Amino acid sequence: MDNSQHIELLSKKISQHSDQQAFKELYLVYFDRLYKFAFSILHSAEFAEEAVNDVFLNIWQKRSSLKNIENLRNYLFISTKNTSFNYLSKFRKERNTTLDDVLVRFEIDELTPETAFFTNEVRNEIEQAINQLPPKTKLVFQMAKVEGLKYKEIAEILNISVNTIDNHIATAIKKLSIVLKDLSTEETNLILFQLFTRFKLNNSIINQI
Amino acid sequence: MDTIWSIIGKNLEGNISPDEESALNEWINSSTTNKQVYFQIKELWYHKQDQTNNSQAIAAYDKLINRIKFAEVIQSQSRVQRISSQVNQFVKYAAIIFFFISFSFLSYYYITQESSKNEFCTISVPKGNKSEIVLPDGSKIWLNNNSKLTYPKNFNQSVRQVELIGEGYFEVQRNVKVPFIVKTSDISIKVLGTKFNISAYPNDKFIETTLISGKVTVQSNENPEVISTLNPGESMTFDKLNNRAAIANVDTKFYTYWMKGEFVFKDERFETLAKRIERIYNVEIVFDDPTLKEKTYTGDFKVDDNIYSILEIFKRSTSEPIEYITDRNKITIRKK
Repeated sequence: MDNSQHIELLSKKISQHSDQQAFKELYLVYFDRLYKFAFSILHSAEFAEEAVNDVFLNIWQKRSSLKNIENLRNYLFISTKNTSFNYLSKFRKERNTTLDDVLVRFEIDELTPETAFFTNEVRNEIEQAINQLPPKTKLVFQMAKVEGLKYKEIAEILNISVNTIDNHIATAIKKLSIVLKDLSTEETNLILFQLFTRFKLNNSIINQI
Repeated sequence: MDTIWSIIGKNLEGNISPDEESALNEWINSSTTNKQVYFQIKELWYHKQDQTNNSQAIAAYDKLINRIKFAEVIQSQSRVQRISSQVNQFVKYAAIIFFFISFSFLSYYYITQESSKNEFCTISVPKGNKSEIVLPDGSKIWLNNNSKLTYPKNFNQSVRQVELIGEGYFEVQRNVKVPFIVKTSDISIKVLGTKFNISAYPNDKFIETTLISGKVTVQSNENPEVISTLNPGESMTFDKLNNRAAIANVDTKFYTYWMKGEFVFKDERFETLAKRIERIYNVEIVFDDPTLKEKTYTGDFKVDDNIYSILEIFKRSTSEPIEYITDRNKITIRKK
């Protein structure tokens, strides 16, 4: 549902006709990702939700100027970041919060048996390894993986260069590969072998994922 | 060698150049470990994080809508009030038109059916409304929301008797020969000519009779014994459970301002106030914590005020933090 033409249409309906239904749809399209993004900064379900609602309250109140926003998705993420940072500043009783102050916690969701490529032990190891990385790296990794954002978008949202994003992702992947190398066992080799043959067969499809 | 991690990253992002792709393939095929690591990373990357379930998003959205409504009230209190009073105005006019239609219909009925005795007229006021009635003898009655008044068609001939469920303010035309009787579920109020207010809602524990001027006597419905006589400025609270009555001197405005669309209260329990708010705004209020019911408040509102602004005032003037959750017509009040 996150297709830019559709989002543009929603945005138009909201700004020109105060269309509440379109507003609700926009909210439901982005809630999940914005909430997770806010949660990774705030570590509180309540405040993450509050932050997302702050952002949308503002969208609704300023709906007439929505047409001036070029990329609504980035705008939503940037607003969520700023709002979350403001909350953090309040908690820390300091005026400013920068990316370096953010304690990001990376988590992989519980694996269901059907999708369990990794055992939960491996999952914990990976989580631990990622969580040893600097906060900024973790946040960038999370945004790319979980929120599915492009480097360019992350760069715009966090106000850092695409090169820096590239470096952060490379650092995270390097770390991952070290953990995975250490963890490789007979068992994973076997699964991997099966998977690999399947991948090879469907290579063209896989590349499109 | 470090660049391979960057290339893998770009591949996952879906933004890889042909040169980088061949470098990647070369690296993958150069050792089994590389192959293994690459596919594990890829698997991990595409491992879908659970979506937060939709009901969380919808619940959050409902909260947002409440905030939007509230923000609109606060932002331009007067403007919003005007808008909401326009809506109320519409309801009022609709009620008045409805009243005239039903009244003319009733009068027509009254004239044509005068011969048939023992027939009754009933006037019902739905939740969130109020209505003004002039009886055939010239007595005026203001019915509060969610109230019902029944009177016989042969009213005025030998007896002036009405039945009230809910709340009404009465200005009774003086007629010494024919007493005016208001019958409620448990008690009857007998008058000659006075102004008084009765609140007798079925869901309330008490029936309250407040006398503004004149004199009334209150009788039990079960036996004709006189419970009490009221003087102006006195209010009788009748406990329906144990059939006991208590009389207190009151400021009558707290009992009659609803007619003007004002809602005035003094040291009133939150539970009692909630009942009144329920009737005015046609909502259901539930207390999550029973101790909240016992808190008392003094203040006044205009009935035209938006319910959210009223709830917000309660929220601010309660010593400990409370919050309210709205779900359609149901409002839950709880400690934060």
